[in-house]
Amino acid sequence: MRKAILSIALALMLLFVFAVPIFAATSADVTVTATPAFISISVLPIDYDFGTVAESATPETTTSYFTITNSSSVVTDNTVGVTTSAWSGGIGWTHSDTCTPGTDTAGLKANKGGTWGTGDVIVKFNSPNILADDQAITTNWSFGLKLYAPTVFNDGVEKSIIVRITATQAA
Amino acid sequence: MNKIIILLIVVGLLLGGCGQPSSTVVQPLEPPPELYDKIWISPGKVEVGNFYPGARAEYPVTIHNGNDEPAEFSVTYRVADNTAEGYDQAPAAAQAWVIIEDPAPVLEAFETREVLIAVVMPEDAEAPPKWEFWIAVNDVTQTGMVQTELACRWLVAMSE
Repeated sequence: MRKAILSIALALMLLFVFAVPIFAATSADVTVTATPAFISISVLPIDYDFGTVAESATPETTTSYFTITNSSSVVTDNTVGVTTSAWSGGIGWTHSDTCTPGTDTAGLKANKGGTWGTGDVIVKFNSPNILADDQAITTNWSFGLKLYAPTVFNDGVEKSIIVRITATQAA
Repeated sequence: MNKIIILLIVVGLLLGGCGQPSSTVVQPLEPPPELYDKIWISPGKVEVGNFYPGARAEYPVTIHNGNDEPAEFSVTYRVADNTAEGYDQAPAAAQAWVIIEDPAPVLEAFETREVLIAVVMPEDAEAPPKWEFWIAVNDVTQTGMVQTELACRWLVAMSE
């Protein structure tokens, strides 16, 4: 009797030892690892008024008009985009992701503290471009915006769109 | 003899338990004092390994409201603007796999709060070997023409 019980116990033990890892391979092998880091940016000023613009005009801020205060504890990638595919106000403008102005179609470019025409980045709605790549830890940076006004307007109502800077840990 | 039997069973159970790998690696980091009045999120990157259809992975995003007044935030799934080397964009269906515990938290002034993010991949779903999506956090009380957004990369590697 005791031999039988011992045999059963041994069989159970072997079952647990060898069977559980098989179960684990389908239910418990997922690993989740997080890198300790803080991502933090803010911007000032938050507005710029291009004023009254003419058809096909290309008014611009200085390339250091907007300052990003970067308090991130890791190197970051920062993209620039617009939050909608159209400008609001009156007869809305279409936002051109190729920065090709047209009738009621406008574009935007950004430049990170350089010279307009050198290193300009198109401000897109889809797949925003990187403006500040591998930005150093806790190092502030600045940028400007340049408007490419429509070649033809169909009203004189003020237009607006939101430009968004997105910070992530560098890839 | 009974003691031997009990001992064998206990040893067997203990060894069996050892087969369950840990699933989450957490390396806590205290925020520096200078971040007290800043809006920040943590972590910056979450890496999921050995993922497979039918699996679940979760990790919280920590949000700090550095404003001196309450602020509402949005926590959303976001298609990655760019991906880490070797990673593809998440499949279009992946947005439906991501569960955000509270997508619109309202944080008191200087409050820090965790919002749990879970990725639950359906058993019949498919994905590239390595894929990436972002969890974006926005302070929706921002009013300017230029606004900021903070995002956490989720890098998912499927089991082979």
